[in-house]
Amino acid sequence: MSLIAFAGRRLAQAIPVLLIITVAAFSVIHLVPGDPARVMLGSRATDEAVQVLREQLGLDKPLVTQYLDFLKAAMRLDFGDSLFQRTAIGPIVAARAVHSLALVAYAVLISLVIAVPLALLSAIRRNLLADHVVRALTTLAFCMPSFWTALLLVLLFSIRLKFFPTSGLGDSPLAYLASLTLPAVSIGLYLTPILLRSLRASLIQTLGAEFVEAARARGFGEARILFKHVLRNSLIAMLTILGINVGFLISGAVIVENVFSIPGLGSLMVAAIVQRDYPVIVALTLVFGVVVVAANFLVDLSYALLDPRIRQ
Amino acid sequence: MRPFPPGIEEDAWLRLTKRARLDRRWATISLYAGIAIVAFIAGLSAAAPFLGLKDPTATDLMNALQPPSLAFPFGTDDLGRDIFARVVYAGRVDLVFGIVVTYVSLVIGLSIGAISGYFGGLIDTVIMRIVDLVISFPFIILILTIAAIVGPGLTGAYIGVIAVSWALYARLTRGEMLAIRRREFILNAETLGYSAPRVVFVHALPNLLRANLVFSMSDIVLNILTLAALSYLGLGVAPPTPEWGEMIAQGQKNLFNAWWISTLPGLVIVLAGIGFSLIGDGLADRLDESGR
Amino acid sequence: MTARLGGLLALAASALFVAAPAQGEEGAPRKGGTLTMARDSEPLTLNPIGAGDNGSIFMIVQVFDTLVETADAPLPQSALATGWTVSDDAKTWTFALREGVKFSNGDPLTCDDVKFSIDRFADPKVNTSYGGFGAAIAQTECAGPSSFVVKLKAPQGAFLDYLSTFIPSIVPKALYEKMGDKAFSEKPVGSGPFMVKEWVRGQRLVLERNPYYWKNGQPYLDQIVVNYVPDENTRMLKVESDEAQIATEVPYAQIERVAALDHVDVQIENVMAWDAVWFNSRKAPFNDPQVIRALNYATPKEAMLKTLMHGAGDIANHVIARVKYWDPAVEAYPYDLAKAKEALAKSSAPQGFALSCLIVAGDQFELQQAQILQSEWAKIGVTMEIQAVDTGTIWTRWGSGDENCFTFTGAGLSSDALSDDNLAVVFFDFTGGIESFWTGWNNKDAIALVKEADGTIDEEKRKAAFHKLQRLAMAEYPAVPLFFIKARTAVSDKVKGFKTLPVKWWNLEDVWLAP
Repeated sequence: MSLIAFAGRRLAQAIPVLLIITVAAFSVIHLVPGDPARVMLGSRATDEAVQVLREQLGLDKPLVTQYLDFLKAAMRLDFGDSLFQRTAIGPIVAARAVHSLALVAYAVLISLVIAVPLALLSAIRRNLLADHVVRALTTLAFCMPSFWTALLLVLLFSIRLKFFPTSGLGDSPLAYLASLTLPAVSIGLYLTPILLRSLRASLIQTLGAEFVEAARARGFGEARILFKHVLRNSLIAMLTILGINVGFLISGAVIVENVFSIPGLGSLMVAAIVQRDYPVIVALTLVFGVVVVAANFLVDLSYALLDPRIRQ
Repeated sequence: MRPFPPGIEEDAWLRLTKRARLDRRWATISLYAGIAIVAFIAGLSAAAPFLGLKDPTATDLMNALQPPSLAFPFGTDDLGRDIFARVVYAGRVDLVFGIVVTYVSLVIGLSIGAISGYFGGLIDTVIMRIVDLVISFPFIILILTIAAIVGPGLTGAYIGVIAVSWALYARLTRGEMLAIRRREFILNAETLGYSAPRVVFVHALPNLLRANLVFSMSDIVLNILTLAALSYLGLGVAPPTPEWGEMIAQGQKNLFNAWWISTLPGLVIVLAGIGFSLIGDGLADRLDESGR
Repeated sequence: MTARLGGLLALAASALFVAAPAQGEEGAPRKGGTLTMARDSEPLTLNPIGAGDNGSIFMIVQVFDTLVETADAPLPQSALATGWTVSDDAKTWTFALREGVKFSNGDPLTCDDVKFSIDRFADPKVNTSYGGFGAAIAQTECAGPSSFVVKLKAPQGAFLDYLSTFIPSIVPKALYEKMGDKAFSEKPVGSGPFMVKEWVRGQRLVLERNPYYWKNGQPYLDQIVVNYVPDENTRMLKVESDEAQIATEVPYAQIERVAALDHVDVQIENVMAWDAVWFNSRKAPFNDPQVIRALNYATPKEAMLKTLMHGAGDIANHVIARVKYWDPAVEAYPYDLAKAKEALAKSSAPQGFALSCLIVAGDQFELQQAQILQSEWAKIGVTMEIQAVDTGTIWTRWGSGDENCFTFTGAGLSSDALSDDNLAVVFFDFTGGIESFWTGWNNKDAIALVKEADGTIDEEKRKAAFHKLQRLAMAEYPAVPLFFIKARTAVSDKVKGFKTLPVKWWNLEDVWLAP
């Protein structure tokens, strides 16, 4: 099967998935009690005032109409206005998506750079000192609460050493990268151990497989065996976990976004849900759906590239 | 001594068998050390009422924010509650939650993922798109909905986390299944005419379990931490019942003036995490022995 | 989301403010410089009509002017209006408009602009968020280029106080009509001390000096960068590292630590905010004042103030905020378990009872406060279940009238206006629209007192009515008042003249930076 056909088929499958997600999110969030007009007006609002505001916001229209309006607009990549921010959703989400994607990409890069060599080391020196040290340290990093490690990083690198700003986003490309470094490391501290453990386990499994022994027996060099055969064959589980986590991190890096004052998608989603800002919730659901579907598509694609036997 | 396979040098074979013995020994050590750590925490928590600890929920404002001392081994929080007692009691909620949620999800996900990867085609497509749906559906909305339906409390937390986590294991298993689908031992089993369930659950299973087990060990810790996050949305343990994640969150605002409120429960989670990791590694290595 | 109500500032507190010297006594104000602030909330809109959250309001007041303004005095001060007269029937107000005022784009501010803005304020279809504030206005007209007349439907005691809020900010009519609601909310033009230079949602709002501002020589600052820093620890680190000179909402637990820093001080100031626990008097046993009294006596406010708030607050002797007509002589309930048990024994629930209380999920402070109440009230046989509910649901739940008990974040309830009237309508007037803050407290005397105070501009009568109301509420109202909340702001030594006003926003046009 050609890659284009594969991609085309997956794209076709993605559309119903995304439709179902938005319908589900839209209907389910309306099942949950809560009313944006009531949240906006808070304690001082009489029922009449809430009603007037609901009419102004178009919340009195039937749900089906509201959803179809959203869908029609979404086809034109117009997500309407946020109920709370009183401005178009598209630009808000786009600006935040850039920061979220940059942050997660940076974090993934850091994690891979650390996890892959350490996993190789750990698997080769399996059950020896280096392996134990690597595993102990990464378990430690993984289990510490993220706001705790994030704050520790700030205290050390921003307050004490003044390498990076404490929070916020820089304007120039270099300053932007610098301001994303500590948050990316914070996420990396969570992601690296997961990737490392998974890769180490697969590596050990592969190292014990028949074909490796056969390659050894045929006198191939260890380095060649390691990179050409073992690593390639061991990446699948790690990539799957990475794929799942990318989707998860784009929407779920709320604590890190908060500690470092990064306006990302995760914190927007939490705010939108608490406020019951329905159009923003549905738009973000769609964006997250696209990210997850794309990430998993890339993972499936990499299966095929890594191991031709999977391509049927 | 067994005759070594043809084509392999004698010293290479000796090296491999020596290596295997070392691995086996470490697998055993790792497994038992892990079990000992987890059992220690679980045992303390289970026996909490008989240990003569202070009341974990009794507030005592005169003794608020005491640093660790002989009277309060882990110090007190800003309501003057004994953090050590709270940590020990919290284990009763957290360990059970972490283990149950993780392994129920693992069993469901493993079965579904294995079927998806083994059969491929339409079944695979449908299952994987459902998995995409579950993974990309905003978790917070799901949790809010569940809270609205079953009401606040632990039940909703169990349902919510399992409803999502199985999909991770399904994807993971399916990827692994694809990787071994064309391996000789599977093809051989099929040639021998074994039924599909037997091939999947007997022959393939040990190979699928490893990745899942390894992931599940970090997942337990994640799920325990998730429990605390859920309380932000009104699900989870009702106050004042102690819970690790909640204790850590509570200490966030006191990190500068009372480091022990967050840090010591955090270290207990680290200890539990190390215990679970050791068990996972030990089990995975043992599976390896039997799977070969 | 915060909720603000209406009212003026406490007399005693305000006297203190007037007497207190501004921080920058060391020499004359210097012009120039950029002030960087780290704020806990961000604006959602910059349109005075439609804003309802502190994130927006505190920025709007920097960009716009009102006819009268709420400085730190107990009475509204002249601003765009240099003076005013009121007819004998207290229904016609005539304002003399300041001459030569310009908007920040250079356009002159005319009576047409004033009329346009006040008419929007008075129209409940436009002013949905604060319809009640402008509801008394019957008609407005320009009697000359600098004479603006407002006719009221009936005399309104708090009329000037409502005019001093951010809602009737004066906007340029022609520009507003040209731009429309949405565009104007993004890039507003006003006649306030600052104008919007750049607004990056989720990150920062940059304000710069309005060159046409009418106050002589002001503002002093060239530019203010207001960064949105939601995490409280990070916000404090921002001032600690000198990346910001002001950080809002110092967490209670860090007051001592931040104040001990060499270059930073923590300013603790009275504002019109408060915290209390509310009960539903439609439900037994909360219809019994003895039960409420018992709970009040069983609440260790002093210990809570010390441990949870590190002393930065005052024990409340009123069910609402400490506003203009607050009576300091009224006694707060002391912590007295014997009296609590006695009151409960005399009540309709002598054996105690169980209740479930709604709190805002995710607010650690409220959670801890609730847990203290839980363990203290248990001592008199009252078992309380804490139900954490997300903000999106909590008003709907409490407004349904089916719940027992409710408490909102301490930073969440405050007064928008300088006098007690609006809070009184919302909390004490069963007929005021939300049945006494949904507590269902239906007290004829209270309703009469609210109306009496509202219907006159006679200061003595108003004061007497509100004082009576305070005593009545403390005795009968279904609530446990807890604390008057204070503003806690970390301020760098370089910043001079900074002050938090009773309405919780800041006098940034008076602020200057030392070299």
